[in-house]
Amino acid sequence: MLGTPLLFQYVYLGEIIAFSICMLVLQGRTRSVNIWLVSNFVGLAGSIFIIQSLASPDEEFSTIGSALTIFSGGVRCVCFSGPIIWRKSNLVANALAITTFAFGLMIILFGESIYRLMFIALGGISATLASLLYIYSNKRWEGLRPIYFTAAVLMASLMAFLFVLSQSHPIGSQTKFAGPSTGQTIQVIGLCVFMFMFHMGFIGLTVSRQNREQFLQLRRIHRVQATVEKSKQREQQSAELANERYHLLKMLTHEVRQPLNTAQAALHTVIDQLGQGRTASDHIQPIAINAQSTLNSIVLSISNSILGATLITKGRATVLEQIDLCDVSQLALFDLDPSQRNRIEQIFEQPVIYADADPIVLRLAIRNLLENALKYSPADTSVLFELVADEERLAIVIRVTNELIDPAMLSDDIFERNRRGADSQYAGYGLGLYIVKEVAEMHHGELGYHVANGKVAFELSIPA
Amino acid sequence: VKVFPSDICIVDDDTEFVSFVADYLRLRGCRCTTFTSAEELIRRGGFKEYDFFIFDLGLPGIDGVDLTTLIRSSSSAGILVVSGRLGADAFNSALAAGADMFINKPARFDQISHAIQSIWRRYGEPRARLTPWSITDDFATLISPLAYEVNLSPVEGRLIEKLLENKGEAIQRAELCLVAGISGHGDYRNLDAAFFRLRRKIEREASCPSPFRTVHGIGYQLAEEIELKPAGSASQ
Repeated sequence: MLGTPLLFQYVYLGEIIAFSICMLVLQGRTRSVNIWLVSNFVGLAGSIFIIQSLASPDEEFSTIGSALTIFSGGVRCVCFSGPIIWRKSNLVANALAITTFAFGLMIILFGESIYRLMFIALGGISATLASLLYIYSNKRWEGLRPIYFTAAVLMASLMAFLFVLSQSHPIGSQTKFAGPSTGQTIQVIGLCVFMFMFHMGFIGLTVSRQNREQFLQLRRIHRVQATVEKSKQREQQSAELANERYHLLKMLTHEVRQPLNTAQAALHTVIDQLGQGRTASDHIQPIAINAQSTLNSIVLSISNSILGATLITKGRATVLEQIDLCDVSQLALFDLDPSQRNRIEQIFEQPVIYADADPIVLRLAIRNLLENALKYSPADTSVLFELVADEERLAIVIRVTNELIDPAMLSDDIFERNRRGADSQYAGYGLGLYIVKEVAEMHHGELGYHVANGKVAFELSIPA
Repeated sequence: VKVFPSDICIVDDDTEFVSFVADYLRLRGCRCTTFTSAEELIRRGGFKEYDFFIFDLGLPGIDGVDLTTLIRSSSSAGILVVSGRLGADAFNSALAAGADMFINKPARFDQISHAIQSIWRRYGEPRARLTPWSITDDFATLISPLAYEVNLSPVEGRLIEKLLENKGEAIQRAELCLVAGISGHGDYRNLDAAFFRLRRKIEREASCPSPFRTVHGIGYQLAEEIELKPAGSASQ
């Protein structure tokens, strides 16, 4: 018939084996789990020695068995430390762990002395305190719920070891684990219960830690995916921007090359004619005017392309100043080809009309409206250019009205970039009305058109 | 009344352009002095001899914005900036430094001529720059820097009085409606219409921009200083 301490020593042995197998099959074994397994192995060896000694007639615990149990506690406490154990913050815990091993060695060195029980209790106390300090200083366990349970088990163990210390010589009277005493039985049962709880706590910790790492890894993956997605979007935007710029450059090259050639030819003719002594103004002037009007169209193309490129790259943000719209309109009129300017009939409601505006882009927008009106109306018709204060809209309306060569050329998307209505007989890529629309929005205004009696009126309104 | 300044100073490092512009302006009866850098003009001194300046912004050394600031600190002459520098930054920095108008290059001579005349008409008299706006203390007459009088309705008078009280701080539309006794109906259209009409009236009668401005999405604020005058002094 087995004695109670021996029976529970077998239970303790079974616990260690069962939990060790459990940890061996645990997925993603960490450094802590490996150290715990080594500790279990040492504890297992100690337990075998103890079982053997308990089977002896005096039922005295084996010295080697006790020392190995203390060594296993010394190894076990290290599994709560961080990966870098020799740190300043671990100084006290490391000293306690070394002390645990020292008490184990003293048990062996002193053999069956009267202080053995005290050494065992002190070894247990230092191992428990080292574990608690490692847990406290290791940030990896922070926020994991099982850590509180493990710490509670360790605190309870500490109390038990303190009790044993108080009973052992020289503080108390007990000098050895002798015979099937009640104290010995309680201590062995306590060891079994604590080890069970301790294992449960550690497994809980390991699983929680794995879950957290998985969660963090998943979050990292999501972040990387989001970053990759953003990079892809940026790359796509850059590609689109580069494409837009290339398109504008192509447009500019196309629209500018031919007129430059014409202007160069006209100027060459002027110089040639002057060189031959043909200085009559009626001969030279038309050629010079031709050169100037060609240069005018080049300036418009370049200005539209520059503004178009700026709008694409930087958006519409601008600071508006109070300026005289009559002045800006007049400057825009001077931008027109002098030979066409007499077709413009201008009506400004007041000699000065102020509004918050950007005069550079607004001048370009008005010029585009006027150039379009001249281009798309019969050559012998006039274009009405009005500047009126519209009290209904609480805005200054810049209105350009002209007859249409073909009303069908107006389509719904004429304000879009690269749209030119239905015609193809005029050169250019249709950037003009897109610029006007953007300028209207830049000024918190509107651009629209209406057709009546074969005439179209484009209205650019600016709040004032 | 002269429609064109008589002594014009041009500072631009594009010597050919400067030479052409100067010839064009001389043909219209102006005396033109040209410089290729700000330093050259500063060394020469005598800024007060000129009644009009034309500057480029992208000058070597001291740039056009700094030169404009320097000239404006000692002269009330008209300043026109003709520059190839594009964008709102160039325009705003030139105006903030004290320029009267900004024309971007390429600029035609008739555009430069128009701009000079426009500025000359508006600011030709030096006192226009030095005299602030004023208003009679019964808030019935607003007087422009060039002494043009604009008669105000009682509602307009109350609006200006409120703007004056807040000394350049933006005032909410609701508050202005309350002060002027204008019904709001939630969209403040009547208030905006009152300001719209007042602006047009000032432009018609004083030929200059109004001394207040719209603060987008908030309300209105005073943009110029307005002095209070006794009611009887308006037509003096």
